[in-house]
Amino acid sequence: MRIRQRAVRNRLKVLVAMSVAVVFAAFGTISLSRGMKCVGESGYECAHDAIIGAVTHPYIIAGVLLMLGFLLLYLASLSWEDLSYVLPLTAGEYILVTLLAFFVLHEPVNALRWAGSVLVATGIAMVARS
Amino acid sequence: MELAIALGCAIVFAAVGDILFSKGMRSNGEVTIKHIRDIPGMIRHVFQRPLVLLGIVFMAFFFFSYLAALAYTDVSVANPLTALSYVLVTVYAAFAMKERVGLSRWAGVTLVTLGAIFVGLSS
Repeated sequence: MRIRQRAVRNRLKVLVAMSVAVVFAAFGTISLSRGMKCVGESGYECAHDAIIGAVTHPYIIAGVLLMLGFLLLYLASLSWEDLSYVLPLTAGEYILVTLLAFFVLHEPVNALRWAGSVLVATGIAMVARS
Repeated sequence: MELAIALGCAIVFAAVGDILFSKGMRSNGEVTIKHIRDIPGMIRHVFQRPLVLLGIVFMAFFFFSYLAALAYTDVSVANPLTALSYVLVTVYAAFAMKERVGLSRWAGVTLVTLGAIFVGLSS
């Protein structure tokens, strides 16, 4: 009974950690996207300037930090639970990124793109579970 | 065209990185992490494995290609398409590494491919 309680608590802990991790990853991706859009539109003459422009862009730095936050929580979760439980939870990131792209970045997400994102997320959850 | 190259590179680099991670981490025994304190030890262990190091290099390549792709297209297009690396990894695992790949995993790979086609067509 005690062991079982601990197993349930472990899974809850991973569920919370991975929910936060997925939010970090999604906002990180959105932040990187916004940063790179700025860099792309700045019209740098040479690649060197573009790279400097990218690595010093605040949105890109924020994106990288959020991605690091995701990685730490992901690694911690892997130390608490099996990969086959943890990895399917990352599939939610694909849905969240599309949602944020639509509502925050106002990207034109039509029905086909929504359907594609949901299929990709479902597919990843299935690949990861098996 | 630049977009296709950047995304293609990102997908292939991510897949190669994952395959190298898998080969490298399995080459000398399992790693057990029981507590968060074990992670520094694990990291030290990981950095002594050449295949894993090479995997990290490929993951860095993936990250830069992905950033380049984000400069050319919407993130709602680029992000789902990177999932195609799961398809490459599964095909490689099944045919080159002769891992057993079950039916539900092939079904998942098919869904990812279909989804990527939908997303690609939508842009």
